[in-house]
Amino acid sequence: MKLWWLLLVAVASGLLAQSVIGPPTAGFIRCIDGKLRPVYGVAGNFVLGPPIEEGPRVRPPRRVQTALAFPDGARLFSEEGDLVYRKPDGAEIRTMLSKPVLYMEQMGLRWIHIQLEDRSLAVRLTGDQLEVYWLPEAAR
Amino acid sequence: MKKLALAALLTPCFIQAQMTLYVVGQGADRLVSDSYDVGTVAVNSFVETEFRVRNTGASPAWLVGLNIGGNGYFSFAVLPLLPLQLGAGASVGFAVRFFPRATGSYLVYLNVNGVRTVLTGTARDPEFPRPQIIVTPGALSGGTQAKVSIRLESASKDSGSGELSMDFIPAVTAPFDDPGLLFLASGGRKVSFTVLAGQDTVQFGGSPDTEFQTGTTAGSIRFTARLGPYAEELTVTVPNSPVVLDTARLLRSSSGVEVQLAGFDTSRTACRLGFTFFDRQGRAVSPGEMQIDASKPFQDYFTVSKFGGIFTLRAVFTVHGDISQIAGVESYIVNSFGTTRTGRLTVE
Repeated sequence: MKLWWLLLVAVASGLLAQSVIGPPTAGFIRCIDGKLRPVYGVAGNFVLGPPIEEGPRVRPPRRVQTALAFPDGARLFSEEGDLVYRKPDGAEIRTMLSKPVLYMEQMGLRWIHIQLEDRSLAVRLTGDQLEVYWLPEAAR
Repeated sequence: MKKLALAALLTPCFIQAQMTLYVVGQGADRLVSDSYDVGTVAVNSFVETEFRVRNTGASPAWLVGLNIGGNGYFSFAVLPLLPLQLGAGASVGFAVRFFPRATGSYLVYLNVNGVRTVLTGTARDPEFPRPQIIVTPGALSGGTQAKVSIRLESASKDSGSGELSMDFIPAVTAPFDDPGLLFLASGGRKVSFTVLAGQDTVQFGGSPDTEFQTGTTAGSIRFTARLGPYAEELTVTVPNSPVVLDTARLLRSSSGVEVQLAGFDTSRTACRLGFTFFDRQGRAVSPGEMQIDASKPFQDYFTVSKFGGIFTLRAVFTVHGDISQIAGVESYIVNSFGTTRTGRLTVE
C-alpha cells in the first residue's frame, strides 16, 4: 500500500484570512440597448448592476447568435416557440418561450442570457433540468 | 355679364347651403341643427360619433372645409380626403372622437364648409371596481420569482390604467433594503396595468399577471394597487430560514483546495461553517471536521452589502501533502434558523 501523508491547514483564523465573502456574480449581459451590465445574484434572485461605461460600447454582433453549441456536442436553440436543449444523444429538453429569441450568449460560467423581443431570460442546465428565470429589465 | 358676376359671388353661399350635417344613429341618420352633445365619457376613455355630410341640393357641390377647433379633446377619428365633390343627394361620412383627459364639460366648433356646429361633451371620473391583489404562490420564500395578478370585484365599467407598487419592511432590525425585491418587467418597484371595460382582470403589458422577485431578506412585502379612488393593499411575508445554497463547488489548485458556496441568508445571521475533506478512499482527512466561527466576516459583509442576503464564500485551504489525494468535501453553514449541508462535493 502506497503511503502518503496529507494535512489540511485550516485553523479558524487562517481559513478566514484566506477566504472571501462577497456578492455572487452570475455574469454579464449585453442588454438590448447595447450596454454591458453585470448581473449579481443566484437562481431566482438577480440584480442588474449599472452599465459598464468604460471601454468601447458593446455592439450587437454582426451575426446574431440564436443558438449555442457546447463542447460535448449539445446544442441550445429556439424552435417553434420553444427553447430546446438537444443532448448529444438526441434527447431533448424543451420549454415554451413567450416571445421569439433575438440572441443568446454565454453570460457566465453557468448561466446563458437569452434576449427575447421584450424581456431577458437567464438559463442554466442542472443535471437533466433546464432552469429558466426572468432577468430584471434595466430600470427606466 | 352682370348676371355672371352675381352668380360667381353667390356660389360659395349656395355650396354651404347645400351641405347638411347628420349624425349616424341606429336605423336612420338624424339631422344635426346648430349643436350636438356627444355624451358623457370617463376621463382617459373616448367615445366616437359618426356624422354624415349630405349634399341636399339639386346639383353637385364641393365639400372643401371640415375642421374642429378647441382643446384637443375632440379630434377626427375618420376624415375624408378634401376637397371632395358630392353629387346631388350624395353624402360622405366622418367620425369625431371625444377623448378627455380631465373631468368637466367641453365645447368645440365643428366647421363644415365654414358653417359652425357646436359639439359638447362631458368627462366624468372613471368608475372602477375595487381591485384585489393575488400573489401566487400564496406562501413565499426568499430567492423566488413569483407572480402577482389583480382581480376586480366585478367587470369594470370603464377602461383605464392603474399602478401596482411594492414596499419592503425588513424583519431584521437594521434598516436593510433589498434590491432583489422588484418587478421583473420594470426592474423597479412599480409597474403599471391597464383595465379594459367589461373585464374583471387587469393586464400587465398584455399578460394577466406579472412576475416579481421576493428578494433574499426576511420581511414583509406590501403590495399596493392604485386604481381610481382605491388603494388596496396586500402584505405577504418572506420568512427567515436556514441559509439556502444555490451552488457549491470544490476546486483544486497547486497549493490547496477551495470551497465555493453561493446562496443567500434571509436572516443575515450566518455564523458557523464546517468542512470535512475526504481522500480518494473516502476517508476523512486530518484534522477531520473543521468548524469555523464566521459570525464577524458575515456580519461585516452584510452590513455593507448592497445586494440583500446573497453571498458567495470562497474558503481556501492550504494542503500539506499530496493534493491529488483530496477527492471530496462535506460542508455546512449555520445561521440562527438552522443548518444547511452541501452533501458530498467532488473536485471539479
